[in-house]
Amino acid sequence: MSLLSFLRRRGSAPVAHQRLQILLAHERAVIGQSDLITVLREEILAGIAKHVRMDPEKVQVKMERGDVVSTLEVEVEIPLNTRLAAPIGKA
Amino acid sequence: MPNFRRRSFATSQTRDKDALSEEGVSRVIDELRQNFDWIICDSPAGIERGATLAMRHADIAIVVANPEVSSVRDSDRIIGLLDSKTRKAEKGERIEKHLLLTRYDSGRAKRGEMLRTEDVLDILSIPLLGIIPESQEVLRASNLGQPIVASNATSAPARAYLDAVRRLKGETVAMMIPSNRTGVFAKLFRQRAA
Repeated sequence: MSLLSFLRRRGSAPVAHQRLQILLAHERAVIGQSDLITVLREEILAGIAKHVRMDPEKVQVKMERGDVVSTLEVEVEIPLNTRLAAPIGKA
Repeated sequence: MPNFRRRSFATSQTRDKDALSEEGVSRVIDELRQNFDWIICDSPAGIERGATLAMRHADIAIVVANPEVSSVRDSDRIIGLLDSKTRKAEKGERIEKHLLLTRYDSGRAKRGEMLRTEDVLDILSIPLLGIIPESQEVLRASNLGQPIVASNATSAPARAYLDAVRRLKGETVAMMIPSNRTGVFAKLFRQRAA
């Protein structure tokens, strides 16, 4: 018991590192959306919706911040039986 | 430093947390810009309005973090805000960001009891400006109402701060964590950044 608890006590930094990674992966996904990602999502959605019928809920925009490059990942789910939508009239 | 003029403007919002307005801060910073080379704007800890006001007009940001989960987490949020809510970011420019890691205990980090420098850098992905070792001297200086570099300029944290300042000014200074050991063994025991 003493050896096990001793080892566990020593190893708290890796746990902190792991907790941070999980926390931030979540926060970056949720909070990051509030600004740039939301704007991008809306504009990309509007762009696609001009040509294709799709469910607005099935569009995912993710941003990953890296050392040198950041990547923007856009995932659009288009139903199988979709057809090109008629261009939406300019309102 | 020759011809070094320093002015301090206390803007502690002790009476009213909302005493500062965005326009007011903007006007003061614009005026100061005409007379000074460096304007250092301290920010309240955390991610509240005070912090966003302090960072609003920054050209360079120094993100100060402890090797603790809550602090690194807030720093991540601040980095996000720096990239979106500052004047520079809104103009589409990049804001220069640096990490200053404080209260660092290299012994504990080595034993796996504290996040290591590379752990924090791995998470925050911004360049390192300096590592300030945990030291009792800091509280002593604070008790005396003096900056650590004034109250004990030869202490480990003071030397670490001075190194960080030189790096900020563009000098190349090896990333060391100054230690409190003095005398013959000082150089032998001086630890390279973990």
